[in-house]
Amino acid sequence: MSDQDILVLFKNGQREKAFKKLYHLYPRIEKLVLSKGGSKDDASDVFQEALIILNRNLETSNFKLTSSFYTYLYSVSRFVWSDLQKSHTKQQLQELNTQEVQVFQEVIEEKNYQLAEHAFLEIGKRCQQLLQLFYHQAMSFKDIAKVMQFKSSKIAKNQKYKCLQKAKDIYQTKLKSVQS
Amino acid sequence: METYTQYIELINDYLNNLLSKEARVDFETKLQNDTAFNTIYQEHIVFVNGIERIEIKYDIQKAKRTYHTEKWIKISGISILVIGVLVMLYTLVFNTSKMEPTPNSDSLNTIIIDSTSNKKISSKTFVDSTKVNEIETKSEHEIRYTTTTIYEKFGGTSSTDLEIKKHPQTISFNTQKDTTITCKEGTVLKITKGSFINPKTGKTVTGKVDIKVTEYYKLSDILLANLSTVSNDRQLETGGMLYIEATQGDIKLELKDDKSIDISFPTKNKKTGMQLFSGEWKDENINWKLQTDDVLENLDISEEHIEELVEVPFSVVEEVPIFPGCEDEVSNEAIKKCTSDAISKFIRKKFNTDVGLGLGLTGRQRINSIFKIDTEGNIIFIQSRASHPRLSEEVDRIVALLPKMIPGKQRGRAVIVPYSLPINFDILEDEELSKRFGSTTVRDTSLTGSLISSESVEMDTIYTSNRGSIEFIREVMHDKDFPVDSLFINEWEQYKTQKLIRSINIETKPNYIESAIVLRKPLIEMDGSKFKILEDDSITRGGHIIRVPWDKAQVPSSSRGYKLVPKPIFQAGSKMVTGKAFEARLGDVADNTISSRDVGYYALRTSNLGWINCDRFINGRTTRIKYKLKIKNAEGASVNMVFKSLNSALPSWYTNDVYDFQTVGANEDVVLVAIKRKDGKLYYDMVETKTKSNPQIDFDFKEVTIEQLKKAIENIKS
Repeated sequence: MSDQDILVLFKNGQREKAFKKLYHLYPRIEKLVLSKGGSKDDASDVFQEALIILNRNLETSNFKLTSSFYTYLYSVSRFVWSDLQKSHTKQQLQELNTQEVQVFQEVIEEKNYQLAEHAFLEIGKRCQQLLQLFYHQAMSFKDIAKVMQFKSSKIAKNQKYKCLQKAKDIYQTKLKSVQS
Repeated sequence: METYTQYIELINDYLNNLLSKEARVDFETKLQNDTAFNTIYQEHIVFVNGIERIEIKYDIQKAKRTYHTEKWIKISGISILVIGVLVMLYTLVFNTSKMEPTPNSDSLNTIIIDSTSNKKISSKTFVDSTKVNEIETKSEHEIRYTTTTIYEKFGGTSSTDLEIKKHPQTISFNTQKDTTITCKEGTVLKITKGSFINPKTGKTVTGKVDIKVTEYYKLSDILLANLSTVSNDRQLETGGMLYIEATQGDIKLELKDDKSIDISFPTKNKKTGMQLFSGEWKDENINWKLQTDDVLENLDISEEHIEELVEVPFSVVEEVPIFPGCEDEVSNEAIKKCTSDAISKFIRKKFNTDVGLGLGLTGRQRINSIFKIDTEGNIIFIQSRASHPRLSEEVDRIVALLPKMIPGKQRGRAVIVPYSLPINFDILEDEELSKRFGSTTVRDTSLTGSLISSESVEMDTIYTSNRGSIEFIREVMHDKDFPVDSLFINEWEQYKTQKLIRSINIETKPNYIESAIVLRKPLIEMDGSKFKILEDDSITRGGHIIRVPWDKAQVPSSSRGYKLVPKPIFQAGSKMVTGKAFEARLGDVADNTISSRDVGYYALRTSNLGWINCDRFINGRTTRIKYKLKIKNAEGASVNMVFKSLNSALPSWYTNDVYDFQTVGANEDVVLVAIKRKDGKLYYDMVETKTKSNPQIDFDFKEVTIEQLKKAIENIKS
């Protein structure tokens, strides 16, 4: 399975299949993390993070894969790991080339998203379901009201904003605690 | 809070691309100028991405699981295989000591079976189909064994001998039936019913019999079984060796005196002069004796060959070809139905019915297409016949698009399956066409049938004659000033379909039948229906008014009846255009969409020549010939054959520089019309000839205008 084939899978929306193919690269990434003193679980997390970043990039139209998937995932994984360890020095950061800076920024950005994700996971189950139906499945409030047994689409809409607000509040407090 | 909700809604719309252009611009400016808004926007983006992570993660987890499962399956599959091999080896090594081998010359009753011999099968039988070959080794099949090596091998411990011995294949079958057995390596045994006897009782064996067959075809098998191919010191080339043993329970069976087993060997390259030898152990080496002078024909070779080329029609083939998606049907019948339905559906879906327009064809068109599904499942040899080459070309195109199928099988072998596909489709009649083209047709409203007839006219032709429906209505109403407009005509039509107006025949005078019109009561009572008829003017029956229309002369003819039909349209490249537009474009040098063929069709069509289908000649009484024309300077010209006697044109199929008219009657007076369009100019030539095989005709293309061309074609007829 060449990189081209995997790209086609992504394009056709067969994301899961594409991920499966990319998992063939996992053993090599695992080696990298293990060599840097991480555990197998760390490696798994790092690889997952790298895949998420890759997927996000592929969804933006202006992204072009300049190297092979392996090279790309490798460099992303490296940054994810060093970021996790907070081990990069200023010195190191200054030496990065533009492409690496790009990757590094993506990793940092992804960390924010991760925070949002965690915030999301802390709101109630019903809130989670509601937001997911709205943002992922792109359901209308009318349908959501039906599925989640709200009395009207208006209630569903109100509920959605409340949930969103709640999640964002949690996110803000988290962000502050991280930054401080 | 309220503004916040609005902002979020706005952002959602923006992200989902739901905003109008202006709104987008507004949004983007606001994003730049309003920091508070920008923060909310950024925060929301982060949040949406955060939620998205959950979905991505879910997919990744799933992918990870499948990846691991597959990996695990692979590993376990390989280990099971390895373990299996180890177990097999282990059992082999440890069981050998228990098995008794002793290939002794005493215990071996050397008996042959072949189609001619009457010898008995006893416990063990070797059959060898070999070719006498002088000692020189020619191929790898030719083996020479020296007695010593064999002896050494043979003299080794019996355990090693057995370890490598080939396992026989056991087949159970019923002796009461004729049985054909195909063994693993291709040997075919044909056993007639009741062939075996029990040597102890001498009675014919009935019921189930096990037959053990060991095939030695591969050089390695032959060597490992200690078999050599030497006949009285002469080297033999082997076509394969067999060991056959028949048992019922523990009893070894013998072949009846008058019965035989037909054996076919699967020799790939046919060698002549194969003969049957029977094996006989001698000095612990096997010696083959020629058993019969009859040369054994390699039956299966010819058989194999024939089967490969065999074509079995779709309706009778044992296993029909399977259209993708029909595999899951249970019975062969169901598969058959599924496949033929799927093919029809496929054709229906893809067929471009517009192809039929502008060819001057109307009504039901029947196209016959025959193709074959080869042993690979590919569609080959597509042939279609239709009333116009455009139609058959279209069908050919679609049939070629059929997906690859699972090939049909006859007696377990893939065979070529011809498939015949009749296609019917309707080209709309003129009247319907006129509807389709949206013309305002005033339809004939003759209720009494023959009262008014209208003629077909082209759409923008002005036409003067004939009485129209207005007069007819006035005749029925007995009022020459009855106001009739197109709206009323439409209503009239509706009343007719609602059966509020009907035509009947009544006897006005004795023995005098006149057609009359019934205007039913609701019609008269209906508001705004305009039907107000004085009592003294009517005959009432059950409240209806039945009246005989006035005499035609009583209503002056002032209006006209039209039946408008669309102007004929013609193919110009991929578009359909009117004749006028077509001619206008002919002179356009830059316009290369109109092909020579289009011009050919146009010229012949407008000259009122009919089209003829070459099928017509198939059942004719005259001799038929294939008519193919090769033209040097054709350059894509369109060549048609005009039959003077039939007043029809036959188009040709152009493939590989050859104009194929397929089958035509011999000795017909025809004119070959070649038309060519090049750089906006038209060229033509006509050659008068009689149809005969292998025509040698050269065209001398002359430049013409479309008018001249039409005239020239007109002149053919006279």
